[in-house]
Amino acid sequence: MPDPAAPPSPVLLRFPAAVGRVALDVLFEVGAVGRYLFQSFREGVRPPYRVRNIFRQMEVLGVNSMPVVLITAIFTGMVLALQTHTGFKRFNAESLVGTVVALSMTRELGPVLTGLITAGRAGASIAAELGTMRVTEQIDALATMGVSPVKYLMVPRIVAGLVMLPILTIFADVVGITGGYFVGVEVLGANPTVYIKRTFDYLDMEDITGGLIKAAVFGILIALISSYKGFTAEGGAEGVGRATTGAVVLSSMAVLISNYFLTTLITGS
Amino acid sequence: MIEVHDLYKSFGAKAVLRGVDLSVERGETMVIIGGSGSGKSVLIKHMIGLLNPDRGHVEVAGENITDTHDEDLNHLRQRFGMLFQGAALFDSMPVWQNVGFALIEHKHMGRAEVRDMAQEKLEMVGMPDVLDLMPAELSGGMRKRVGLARAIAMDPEILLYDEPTTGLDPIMADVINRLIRSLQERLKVTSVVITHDMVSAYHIGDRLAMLYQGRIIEIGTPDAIRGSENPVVHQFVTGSSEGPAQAR
Repeated sequence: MPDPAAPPSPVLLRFPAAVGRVALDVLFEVGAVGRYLFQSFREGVRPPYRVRNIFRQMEVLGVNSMPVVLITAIFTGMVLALQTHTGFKRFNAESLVGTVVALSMTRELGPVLTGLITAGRAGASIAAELGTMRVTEQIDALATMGVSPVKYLMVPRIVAGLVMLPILTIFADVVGITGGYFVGVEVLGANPTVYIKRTFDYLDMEDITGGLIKAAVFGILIALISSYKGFTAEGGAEGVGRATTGAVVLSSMAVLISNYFLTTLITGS
Repeated sequence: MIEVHDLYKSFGAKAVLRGVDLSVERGETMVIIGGSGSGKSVLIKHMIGLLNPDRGHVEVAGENITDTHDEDLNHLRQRFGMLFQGAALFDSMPVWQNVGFALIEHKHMGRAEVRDMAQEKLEMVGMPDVLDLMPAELSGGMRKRVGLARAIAMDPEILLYDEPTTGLDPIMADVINRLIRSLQERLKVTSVVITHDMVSAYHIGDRLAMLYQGRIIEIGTPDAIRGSENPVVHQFVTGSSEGPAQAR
């Protein structure tokens, strides 16, 4: 019978201690990211608005991501049509393939896939660029010249994310639905008129706007988290590498996790 | 001009500054010497508000920079110029935009005007033909000189130098030393230089201060430091691995 008053063995303590440490780390990072968001907002609403920086970031973040987003969207739409057809055939509902593709793309796959691709592509490039600027003291140099690094570097990226993710998502929606149509009509032999009718009959404006709202939030999160990772990089090239990996992992997680809660909010369930 | 009062700063468990007091007079060149990891960079970053101390404060021209934030701090910083160890040029911009960065940001000058000003500052550092080059096309010594041109672009009252000669060959180091000296004579600025290059320290310093174990242990003219009887200072300025200070 062990003595209940004896202190627990160090081995037993190690696990809760590790859990506690991870929890503290996570809380610390969330707090730090939140502080940057607050600061970005406060400094972002005040002029000057650095329109040129914003446009450059929109190009980096949005335009350059376009090819990957389009390829992903078209194949996703095509696969979706194939899979839905296979499943729905079992209860003679093949005619609803167009509906399912349209709803899935606009409500879920358009924004989320665009978010994940941008998190990988733009997130990595933001963290690597800002991380390199951090370790080569370019961010310090900005500050010493009386220019806020948050305002000069972070705000334009966040604005670009906020604007470009919904735009990318619109393209993803359209291309995905088109891919589904192509497979539905050309490969599976659906009647084109019926397919198109079914696509739009059940598609509400809210399906589209809900997806775009999600995309806008993903855009803010990706730019914010990746900028934060870059800003806090330390320790030379290796540190920049760590920051880049961290940015991709963290912003992908943020997209997936926030997606659930956003969906809850938007659908009101 | 710059008053450092009882400055303490730790990173995690590592106490870097442990009560630094230092007073830099208007117009003089103060050289802070000390070994690698002695906290020289940390000290100079406190002087321009890049780091916040755990205790103590820094006053610049009577203003407490430690308690100054945001817009006020950005405004105060326009009185400074800083040369970073690796020059820290913005590698997305050509040389003239680097040199003219603060002019574009704060004085809202037009392109032609900025280029003229940049050219003037670049001539002062002996680099007349580089306006349209990118930083990646410059050698280490050239980058330092462009960095210096950027530091003096706004006609600052205070110049901070973070290891200006580190990583340069001896001839280029001498070029930079002479440049720093001549800029001081022409611009009459107050300067703080951190270095572990004693040749450079003797050449450019009006006074030298030695930072050791988080405190200033000796301060004096170059001659006084050269003849110091403090065993740590003596060991450092003569460059010996034998003595009370351990290499880290």
